[in-house]
Amino acid sequence: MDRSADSPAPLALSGVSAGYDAGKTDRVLGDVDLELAPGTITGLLGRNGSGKTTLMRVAIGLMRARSGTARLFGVDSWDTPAEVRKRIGYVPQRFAGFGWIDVDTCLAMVGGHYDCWDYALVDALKREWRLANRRIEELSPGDQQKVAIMLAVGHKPDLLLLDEPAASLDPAARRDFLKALAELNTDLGQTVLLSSHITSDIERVASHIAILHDGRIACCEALDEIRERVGFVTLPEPPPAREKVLASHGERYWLWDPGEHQLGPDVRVDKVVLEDLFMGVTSR
Amino acid sequence: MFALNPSSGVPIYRQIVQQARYAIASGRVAPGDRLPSVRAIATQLGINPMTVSKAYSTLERAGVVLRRPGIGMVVSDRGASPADAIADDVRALVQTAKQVGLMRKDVIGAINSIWEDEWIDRPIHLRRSR
Repeated sequence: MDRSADSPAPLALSGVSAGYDAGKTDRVLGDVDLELAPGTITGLLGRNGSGKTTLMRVAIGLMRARSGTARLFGVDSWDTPAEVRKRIGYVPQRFAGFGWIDVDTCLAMVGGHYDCWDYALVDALKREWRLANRRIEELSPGDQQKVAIMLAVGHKPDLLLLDEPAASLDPAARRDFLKALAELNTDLGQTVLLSSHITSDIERVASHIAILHDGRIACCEALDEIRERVGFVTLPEPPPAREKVLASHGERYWLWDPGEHQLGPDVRVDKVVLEDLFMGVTSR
Repeated sequence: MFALNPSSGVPIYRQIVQQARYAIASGRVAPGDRLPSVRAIATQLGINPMTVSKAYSTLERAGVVLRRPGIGMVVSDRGASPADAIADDVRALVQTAKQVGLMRKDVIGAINSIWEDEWIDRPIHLRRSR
């Protein structure tokens, strides 16, 4: 696969607005800009109802943007040919499978629609996750989520979108799921957009975070950049270098390169706690 | 081999680098030993494989490990010196000290006052294999 710098981004949203009301009285997404670089895992963070699912739906063309553009590998999401759709995998928030059939039948039914279905990969996952010959409705929510993942990766997509895949899982199952995702990503190197409101999952597996708030992407950065360059401080008034403020909430500031702000010895610079940053950005 | 704290604010790749250095400096991993593959670490810990690659590249640039085609990452003969095991902690200490306006001698004085504390000798034992 071509991963050169000049190839179009797997996913690029620019000025996207969207909503569900035909009279356009609602506004779920206001002005969303988001671009995913090839091979990155981006954690899409946002509070309940912030529009994470809507963003994914617009991104892959299940829903039309009111304005702005959504592009998949350079092609308009609303008008994607089959060869582009083949490069995308999507795991919806709720697994809408056929409960009465077994995992194998379900996989065969979906796999039959693709000429590029990787039976070896899916069989290996099925064995590893011990899901062969089991009826879907008898599986735990975590195992059903794994079936949904197998359905979404069997055609080896270059872009994988997962909508709160771990929300219904207990901590052990969530860890299991993250391991599976890390394993798949090692082998296939896909670009991943993973939505969640659980920051601890995101900070473990993601390379980038994008925080969706008030219909816009309020913060989009590489996690290691934040960890290495951003400091958290409490200041009675805003620092003079406003452009160096990543986020602020009341007297709490997240500053790029805090060493360059001449904060004085009485100001304590702390490391960034992603959950606090998330709360700060989304409570405005 | 690695116990990570993704919420600590320290980049995960740096935690891996630091813990690998510690394991090597303490002799738990010897020169010539093979480190786990990127796949094994990413899968076991549920972390981004690129994070593991970044950690290994950092260790390779520092000469701590060598990349052997077909084998993987191998601890170099040079390995890590015991001082490497505390490098990150010292950096954090100096940073905090400067932030609160301490002088170098104050920091050294603080270290000296704790050095003789009998409890300090208990928990950790650095052991050299060479």
